[in-house]
Amino acid sequence: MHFTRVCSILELEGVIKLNIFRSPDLMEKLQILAGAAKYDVSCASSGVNRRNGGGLGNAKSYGVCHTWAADGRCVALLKVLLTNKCVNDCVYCACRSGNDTPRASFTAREIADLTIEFYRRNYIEGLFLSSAIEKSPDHTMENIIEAVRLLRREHKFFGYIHVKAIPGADPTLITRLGLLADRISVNLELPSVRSLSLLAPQKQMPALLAPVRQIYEESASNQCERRLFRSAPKFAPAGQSTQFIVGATPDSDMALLRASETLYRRFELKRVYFSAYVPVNDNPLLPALSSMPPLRREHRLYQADWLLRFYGFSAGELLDEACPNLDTELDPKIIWALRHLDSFPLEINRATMEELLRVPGIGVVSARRVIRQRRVCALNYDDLSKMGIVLKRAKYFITCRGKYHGDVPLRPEILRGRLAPPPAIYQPSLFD
Amino acid sequence: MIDYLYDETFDGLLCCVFAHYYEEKAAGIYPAGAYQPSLLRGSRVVVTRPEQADRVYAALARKTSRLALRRIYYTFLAAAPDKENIILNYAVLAFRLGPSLAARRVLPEVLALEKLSDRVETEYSRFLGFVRFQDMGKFLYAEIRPDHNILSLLAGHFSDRLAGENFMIHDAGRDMALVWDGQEARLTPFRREGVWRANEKELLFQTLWREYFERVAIAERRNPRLQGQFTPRRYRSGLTEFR
Repeated sequence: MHFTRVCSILELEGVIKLNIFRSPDLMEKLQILAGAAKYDVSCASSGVNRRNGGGLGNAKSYGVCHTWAADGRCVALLKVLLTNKCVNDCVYCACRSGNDTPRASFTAREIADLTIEFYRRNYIEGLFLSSAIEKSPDHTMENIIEAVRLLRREHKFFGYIHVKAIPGADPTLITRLGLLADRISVNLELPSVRSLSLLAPQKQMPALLAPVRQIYEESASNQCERRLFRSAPKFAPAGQSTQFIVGATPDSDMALLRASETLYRRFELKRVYFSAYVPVNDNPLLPALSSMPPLRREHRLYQADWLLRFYGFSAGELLDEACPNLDTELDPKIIWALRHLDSFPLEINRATMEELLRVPGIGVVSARRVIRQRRVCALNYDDLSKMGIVLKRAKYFITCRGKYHGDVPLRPEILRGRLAPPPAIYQPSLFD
Repeated sequence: MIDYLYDETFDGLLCCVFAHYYEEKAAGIYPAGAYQPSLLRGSRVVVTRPEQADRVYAALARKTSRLALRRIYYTFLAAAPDKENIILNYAVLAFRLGPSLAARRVLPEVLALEKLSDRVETEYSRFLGFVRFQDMGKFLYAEIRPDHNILSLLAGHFSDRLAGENFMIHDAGRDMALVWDGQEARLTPFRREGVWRANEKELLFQTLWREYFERVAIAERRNPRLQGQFTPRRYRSGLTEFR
């Protein structure tokens, strides 16, 4: 049913009471501003545990997904822009000032009311509020803070809030924001200064990194403070994240992974997201409008990102100048193992946790199970599959009680043939 | 050897375990309501006595871990015809092996129980997101149709989250409801008569939510298979955005 029609029916009957209904273009705003926010990939609601402190809502550190959209991505938060009216003219962006698209802005109260009504119905886990830069960074940040303040103070909302910090805004505004929100993020978008100056001429790398550094320093000092005064308010308890666009520029996977690694180590980011570039603008600097987003590459980058964060790998181990891009056919862990076959096969009953994590096909859960189980008795091959460990890839890289079950010699070209996905087209054999 | 029949409560099941040790060895445990008498074995209805159940529970707590206890309870909630026997086998093993049980996923008794409890836990965490309330004016109402009997598990999460509201989560397949009145959560038998019509304001938010759901998907990345993995068809009738 179309919104304006519903409204007109309702107004005739005099049913409408809440302020929110008085604005007949709310549906239109939601359409424009949710549509513009969808290229932000982060939708995590994780990283903070909080009970309801006498209002509405709570937060679970493991995060809760509420539904999955038609592109298979999880929907946990109401993800909208406050406005898509932008002074910047970034070449890759759908909201660039030069584009002739419908523009709209929410008021802070509209955002807060909509979040509450969606949250009560358990549609969402909280709010993800981002914005284009209207007038100035400070002006935009003030509006964002007002929406979040209404939620926290007026509605006594204890659910999850993720907000964007606007680079170039006054540092005191970021401090205020951090005390209200759970997670703050600054999108760096491109990993090199050259790409940035090409595609986003109004953005400067130092200006982008300044809020990242500030958020890192403030949460570090906040943690010290909270050790002394447990009741001190938390500063962005779910940490900060960022996002890179993949495939809009010739930047290599190595550049992206190196940058991510630096961000994790230097600024303790919780997540670095990768967004396969969806062509929205026609520009000679960008991939053609008809080209498809590089989804496979994005997938491999996430796999590599997991290896950095949970498996003890470093970017330098996965990629180097000689091959700066990830293999699209095989996952980065297999590629690493094939280049280090001298350290395989590993005896499953003796390998350390760090070694187990480097076996293709064995993840954190499986490695823990192996360690726990083998304290009771030594494991053989059948035990592993009974424990729910997937051996499809792992069997080529391990021995169980000294026995190797891979049935082929440990040579890279042979293993590659075994591990690579079968060709998409079926070729009939002469002997079938 | 005898078949024990119980009243489908968790305490009742624990009393059957008690009887297994202090009376006759159990050949199997079955719900009294759906039992098909066997020609080969006798059967007896076990009367549920809370003090016996408490003793078995305390003994299990002493012999195993909190995690194992939780797994036993989750398995009890599963919709599986032989869950009682899986729990009995696990409990017997727990009394014999003690705390090292949790590490022994290789044993068929342990694997059977862990698999079942994993399924219940997965569905439980899914439904933290899949419950959809409608504002009925005086309270929030949600209808769910989960595979397993997870209603009791949802109580803690939602009564904290929506502490200031009144709500009812209705398991329409089992005719049970979880009711929160702002003070206390209760599990009661409940059957809804007829269709409850949502008011105009409620319909409006449903429309807004559906529209939002359409708009967040990126058309160039359409992937119905991936979407189907996370939102299986059988749950979609309960999800506003898919209706």
